[in-house]
Amino acid sequence: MRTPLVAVLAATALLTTGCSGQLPTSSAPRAGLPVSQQSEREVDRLLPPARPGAGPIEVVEGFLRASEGFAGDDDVSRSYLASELASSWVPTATVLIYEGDAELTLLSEDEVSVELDVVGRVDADGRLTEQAPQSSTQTFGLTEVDGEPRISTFPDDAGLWLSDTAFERVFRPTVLSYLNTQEDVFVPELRWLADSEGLPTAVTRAQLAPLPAYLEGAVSTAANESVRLATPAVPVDPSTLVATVNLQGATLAQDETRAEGLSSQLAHSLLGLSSVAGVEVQASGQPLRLDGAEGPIAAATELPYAEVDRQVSEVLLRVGEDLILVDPSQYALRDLDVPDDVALPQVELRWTGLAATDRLDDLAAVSVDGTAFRRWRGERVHTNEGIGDGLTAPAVDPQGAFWVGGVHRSTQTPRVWVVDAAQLDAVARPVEADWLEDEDRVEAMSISPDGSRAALVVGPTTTEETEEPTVGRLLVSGIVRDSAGRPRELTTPLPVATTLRDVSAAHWSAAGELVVVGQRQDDLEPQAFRLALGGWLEPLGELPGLVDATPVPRVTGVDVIARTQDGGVYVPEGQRGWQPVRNGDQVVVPGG
Amino acid sequence: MASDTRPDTPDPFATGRRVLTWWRGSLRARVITSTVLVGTLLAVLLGTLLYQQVSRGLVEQAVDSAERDASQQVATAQRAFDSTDRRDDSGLRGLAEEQIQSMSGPSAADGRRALLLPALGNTSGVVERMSTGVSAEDVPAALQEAIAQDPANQQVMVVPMSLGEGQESTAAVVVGSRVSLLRAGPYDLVLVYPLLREQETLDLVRQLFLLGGLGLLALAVGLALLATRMVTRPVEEVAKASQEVAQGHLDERLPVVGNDEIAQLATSFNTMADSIQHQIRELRSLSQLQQRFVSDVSHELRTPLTTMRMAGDVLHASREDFAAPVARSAELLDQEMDRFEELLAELLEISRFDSGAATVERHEEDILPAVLAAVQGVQTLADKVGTVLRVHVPSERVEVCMDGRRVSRILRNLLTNAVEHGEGLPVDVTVATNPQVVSISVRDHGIGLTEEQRDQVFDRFWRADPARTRTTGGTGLGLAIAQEDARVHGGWLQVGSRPGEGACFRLLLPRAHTHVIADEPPEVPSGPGPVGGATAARDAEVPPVVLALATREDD
Repeated sequence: MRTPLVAVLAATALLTTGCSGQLPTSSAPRAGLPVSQQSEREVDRLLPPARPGAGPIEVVEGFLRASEGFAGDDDVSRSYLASELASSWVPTATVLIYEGDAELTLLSEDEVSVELDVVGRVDADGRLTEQAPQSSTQTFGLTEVDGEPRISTFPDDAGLWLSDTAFERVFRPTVLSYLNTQEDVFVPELRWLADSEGLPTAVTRAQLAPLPAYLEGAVSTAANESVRLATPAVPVDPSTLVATVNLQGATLAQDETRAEGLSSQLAHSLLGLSSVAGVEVQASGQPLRLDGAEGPIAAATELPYAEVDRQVSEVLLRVGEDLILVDPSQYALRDLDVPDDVALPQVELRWTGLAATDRLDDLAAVSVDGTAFRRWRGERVHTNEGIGDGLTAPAVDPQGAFWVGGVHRSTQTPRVWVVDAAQLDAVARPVEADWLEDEDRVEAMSISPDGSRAALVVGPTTTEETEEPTVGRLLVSGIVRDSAGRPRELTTPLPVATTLRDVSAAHWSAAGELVVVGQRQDDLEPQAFRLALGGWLEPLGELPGLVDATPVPRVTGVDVIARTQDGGVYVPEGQRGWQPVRNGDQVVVPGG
Repeated sequence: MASDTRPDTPDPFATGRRVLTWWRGSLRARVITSTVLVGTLLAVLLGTLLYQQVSRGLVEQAVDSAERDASQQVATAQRAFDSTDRRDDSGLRGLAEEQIQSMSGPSAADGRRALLLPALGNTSGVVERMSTGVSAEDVPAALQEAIAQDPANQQVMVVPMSLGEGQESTAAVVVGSRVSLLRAGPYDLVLVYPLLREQETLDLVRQLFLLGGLGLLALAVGLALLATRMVTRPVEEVAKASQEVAQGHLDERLPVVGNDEIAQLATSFNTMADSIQHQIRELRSLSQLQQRFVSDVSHELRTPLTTMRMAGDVLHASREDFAAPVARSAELLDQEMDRFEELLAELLEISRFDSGAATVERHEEDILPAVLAAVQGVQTLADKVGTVLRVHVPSERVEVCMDGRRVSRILRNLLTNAVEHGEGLPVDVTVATNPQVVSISVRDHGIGLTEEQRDQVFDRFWRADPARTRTTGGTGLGLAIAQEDARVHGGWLQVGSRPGEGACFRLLLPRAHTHVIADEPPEVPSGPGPVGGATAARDAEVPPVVLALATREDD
């Protein structure tokens, strides 16, 4: 009787423990899969952290030296800061770029001043503003932390101080992509962002930010306030180099046009980075796919938008009344035979500032006195003498319309007109530009290859009393067009190349780049510069008597043909030299 | 009408005993209960084993998928942490917060939960611990310690976790991994995968197991019923047939179907019944033969004996005319003639009892005169051996429906035996009565009987001591006849005795002819000594007896 009883008891015990209805749990942790993604960041420069016993000057000096490592993993620069400042310090809020060495002065036990030659400034959005070298005094406040001096307050207007060389090392010029309103092309915008693992994140963040003021209405972006990063990071898979942009936005999944535009913008901008080989854009974790695309976007060619690609294979050289077609790819600008379908007119000497459409079927010029505007189309000629006075040389836009600046005849106020391409005798329509002051005078114009921006050289009114030479400013303004694509308004412009005290000519060489003729503070004569919008001014070499430098966009890059006052036509030679090749009165780049 | 004179005291274990009796008494009950118990035990054991396997399997599967998901999630998180462009505290905090948020499952009801805890020893405090939908206190300290010891691997636990305030805690897979949060230092990213779905599955499995177990049990009961029915039914039939045979229905036989064990049993039973029937028949005919022989012999002897008696009487009457030796012979002849006559009468009486020809003539009459007359009858003998006869009778009449001749014969026999074996000590004759039964005890204080003698005292031709001097010349049939006489009254004649303490014969008779004393009455008490005392008092009481209605027509 005992054995069955024990068995029954054992079974009951099993029943109560085994079928308790709960899943079995474990009290001790056990090792699972290996954590594959360890943080594998490299420290590429070993910067010294704050040294014990260092004085205030050494601390500030050490901070300035170490601050270029702000984007590094160890981020030693924060060790120079008092804890409160270290916690809240956002280095990229404003960056001051200085030339040469910083001079440090101990003002008191808790104040150190630093004298720097500031040459530029980058704002929180990564926009570089170059400025003429200018001495600036920055005062750092210090406090004692555990007996050691530490920086407790920064000068008001900056968060990071970098020498120009450190800036080149730490920041990377990156191109944001906006969308042209008329064609499926990107409009580039250069930004300077910290070159770190966080660069894709920073690019994405900048790309999702609102448009810069001067482009509002002129270009479009698919980003708006409701679209943001789901996680404030854009991780890049180390093996595939695919960047994943996980977005959150109320209407993103429904609005296909917006999603396509945004995917294109982000992909184009991120693919410009060397660390990214593919881009996957997601909305709330679900991939946004472009039409017909599978997987991440791996090349800009998959996008429904393209970069503006403008190439010129022939250039007009005006010699006296003759127009000669020359080959810019040839060293000596050799003559080309005029094709049968092109009829180049004789241009009388009273017409100057010739402009031609890219197919050379439409030419325009203004009279030397700036009162008349003439167009040639094949054998036909139309002269318009009623536009205004002081007309600038015409600029041609991608639609074939001619732009001229000038002064309204009755009010003597500056105006910008556009003459539509369609009719030879089309009237000049004024384009709204409220921001032009009455005393401003438009001296030169150029329209960007995508037709979304205009570069204007604007100077003050010249009167016969003033002896001072004219001073031209270079402004870039967005072109607002109506629904039919006709220019309606020029947006409040962005002053560029502010280090130049006088600008006499400016031509777009590419969608985001200009070739400018102007004088820096110390220059005795005008010089040619290459200017990437948002970048540094880049001199192309001195050429005495330079009056104009015309960019010729070609497959291999942008060539510049310079012209001097005495009629010499030059092409670049070496790094900074010029070579005279021909003589002529004007170099006309079709469509430019 | 039965009257149980035993006291009716309540028994607390009566039910249990009844059940046990029933259980022991029924083979079917035993087989079914055993089958059910063993079946239940096996089903429970098997079910438990399977259930544990299932639950373990579920958890293992969940752990496996949790590990893989966590691996992916942690890689994503680490990449996100590495690719941030903000290094200030609020930037890192925001990053961590958004990342944790994005890792949580899509719905609150299920999906993963995430916690970010500073690694043990990380005191930077740049990013404080944060969690979604799960309490950081629920994460066992052992997990963080394990991560600290082995940061290159995930650390996995299955623990009960509370998924919100006031909610019951549920088992969850907890996977902890080390992540690095830039200048904030190392952190432990703990992903919690509640096992809600697995729990639901397990509940379903349990229900199915219970249902299946019950079904199995029912099946086992059914099978047991069927099997026992197949086995016990023939056995029951055999038992019934045996009972019938035992009750005298010797013609009862079992049907033999097939040639299995049951059929063999039936065949054996039938053979046995045949054999018994045959032997009983033989015995019965032998017995009848014997009885007829005795009866015939007795009757046949009767006529020559009468003649011999008459001749003997003549010789005896004229013995004084013979020479002394011849006269002595005539006397001896007469005496032996008497004995022979008595023996023949008793033999005839016995043969009447055996053949069922004994007739009883019961009348309602007072038993006391019969008792006194019997005492009076042995007085001469008592005086001769010096025995005092003490008679204890009630003062009033004791009416008993009886055959006075037979009752007197019983009493005479008892009294003669008492005087003969009383060793000269007093003999007590006690009459006790209650409304149903009358008891007459005859107690001597002689040498008494051993147990063996007591068992044989009513056997025919048995004598207590064959060598003993025959004072009265008993035939050895007296007590056998007396017992038969008591039995035809529906009463009992019993003896109580111990060696050296005398013997007590008690005659119990129902007072009405409608009753019989069904069961054997309690033993006759043995007396302590010749003076009586307590025994005499006990003799004056009617012992408790079980009365039953008479089924036999005696008159």
